[in-house]
Amino acid sequence: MASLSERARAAVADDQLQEALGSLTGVLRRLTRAATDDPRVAERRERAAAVRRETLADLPGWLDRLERTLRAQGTTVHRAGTADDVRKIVLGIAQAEGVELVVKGKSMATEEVHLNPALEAAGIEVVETDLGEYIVQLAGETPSHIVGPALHKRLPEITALFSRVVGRDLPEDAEVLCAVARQVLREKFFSAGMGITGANFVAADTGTVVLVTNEGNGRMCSTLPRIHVVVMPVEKVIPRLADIADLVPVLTRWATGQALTTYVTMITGPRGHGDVDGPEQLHVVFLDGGRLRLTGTAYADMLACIRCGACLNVCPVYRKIGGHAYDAVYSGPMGAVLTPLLSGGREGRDLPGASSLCGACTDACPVHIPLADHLVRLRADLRPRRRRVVWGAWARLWARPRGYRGSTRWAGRLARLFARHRASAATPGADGWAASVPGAGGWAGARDVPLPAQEAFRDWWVRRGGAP
Amino acid sequence: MTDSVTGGLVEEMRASLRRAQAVVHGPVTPADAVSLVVERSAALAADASVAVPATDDVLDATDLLTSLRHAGLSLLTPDDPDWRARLPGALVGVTGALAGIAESGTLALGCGPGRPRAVSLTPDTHLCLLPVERIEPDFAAAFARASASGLPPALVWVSGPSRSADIEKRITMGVHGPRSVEVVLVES
Repeated sequence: MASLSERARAAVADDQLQEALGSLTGVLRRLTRAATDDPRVAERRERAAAVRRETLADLPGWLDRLERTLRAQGTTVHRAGTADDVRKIVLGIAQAEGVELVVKGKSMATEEVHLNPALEAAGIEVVETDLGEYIVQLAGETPSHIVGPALHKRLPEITALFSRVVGRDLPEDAEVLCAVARQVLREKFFSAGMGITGANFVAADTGTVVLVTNEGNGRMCSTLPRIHVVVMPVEKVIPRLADIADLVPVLTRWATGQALTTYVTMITGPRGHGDVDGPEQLHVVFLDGGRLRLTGTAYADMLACIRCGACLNVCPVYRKIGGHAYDAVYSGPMGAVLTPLLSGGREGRDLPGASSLCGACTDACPVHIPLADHLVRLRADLRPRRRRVVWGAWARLWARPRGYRGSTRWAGRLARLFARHRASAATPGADGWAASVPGAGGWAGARDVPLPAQEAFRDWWVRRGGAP
Repeated sequence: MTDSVTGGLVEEMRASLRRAQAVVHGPVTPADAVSLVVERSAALAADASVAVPATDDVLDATDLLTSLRHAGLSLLTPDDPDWRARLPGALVGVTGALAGIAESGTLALGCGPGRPRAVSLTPDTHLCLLPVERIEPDFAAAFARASASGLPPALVWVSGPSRSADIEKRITMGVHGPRSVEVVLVES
């Protein structure tokens, strides 16, 4: 498989992608910046950050409480340790109920567990109904942004995809394409036996599932099909439903710049006596997927993430290479931290390197996750053994005065060898610089490296008659 | 609450609703609100039906359903045995609101027995009556009001018509939910 730098190079060379990224993430970034000017918003941000940490202080406890509340109202609760567990649980419900068609709301959790292929392999038709997810599904791709899945797609490509669906040439007009999607997907909503959504938040005190959308796909999936399955990563639990008044406006401001999205849906329990719509069965699947073991570690506050995507929009690396170059479900700074953590270091080991450490992600994060610090810590925790041995030896050497003196003396002598690789004459003071350093790899490839002094300061001091 | 405070909230609500791309009517008297809704329903639904809840305190207070029936409109009520089959044919949905958020132009809709979730979702146009005294400054206050007499099975917060920005960040209206939301502000 291609390395991160190879994937990044390919992304940078992709003109179409560069055009899409250039115009689109700029819009999102401006919206995010405008959000922080309102003092009411600033207060909510601090309260939202505090509520997320209150939840994480006792995540298992809040989950137990939530499970009790959900069961009491007639909702079925399933606990899934792994992605495979989620797939088995959801497939099990679908098969037991004879479901042939599933409509899905926008959900990164179901992307994370690769739910669609598992259902499709069992002969179940799965239709993504968020417009962006629908576009990505038609193209046979994966989302490139957690908020705007089809951010990388341009209008001509989307027009071609939709034209294929309806079997005639459609004009390159977003309004027309949207109307086509409405018509095609409306039929799916009415005939689907199961709706699957994620959850933005789930309140422990009332057992309420909160869905935040602009299109209404979450409302449709939770209103028309007979069964509604919510795949809920465990950190989505919040103590009180009333906390939504801070959390949701913060999420929407940072995600899209909106005071609130068009729809905020609060679902408490399945269809009750006398209801003519809403699901007869409501299932909530708790997804651990490597999250619970992060509590109590230095990375625990990563679970405070509310998936607004602001860190992607401000990241100079994401803005240049887009989401797919990360080759992970979650991209951008949050993805670079989350991917290795959730997989226990098996996936995305090179992703913490996809950062300039400028700290823009930390500043943008509405709930104050120190993303840049986590990226640095992960680089240390995930570094390859070879590098760990080299740096360990260096640390031991410099811990002793004799080792330090000897190594600086040798460094000065070795530097003379590099003088042959001197930087170009155009560089002022080029004498003290090397254009390349063997063994330093790409790091020195794009920079001139200052050479150590030919004579160590201590030697010079003693030679001048100073006390050693 | 003094009249001037209420007046300020109503003005903020009107401005926020417009920003959210909703159509705003009023504030008008309850009687005028009824004639307005009848007139708009007739114009928008034509021969199609109008989805309504069986019970809704705002609609019941003005006896709106009777007025709609008298105007010759075909109403789709949740006690209809063919409710689900007739739902796609309803072009207009009429509801009251439990609360409003002035800051964001948001309507709180309570759904449950007698008040189906789809009434404000599947029709092309959603007509909503919001009594002005239910307008609150922010989400926290509006949530407290909307849940004061118990949390409905589905509590939906709506800010304008359904929209998407998934095609090149261009805002397109009416993806899945109503293409248009008209709000009638009702004086107390």
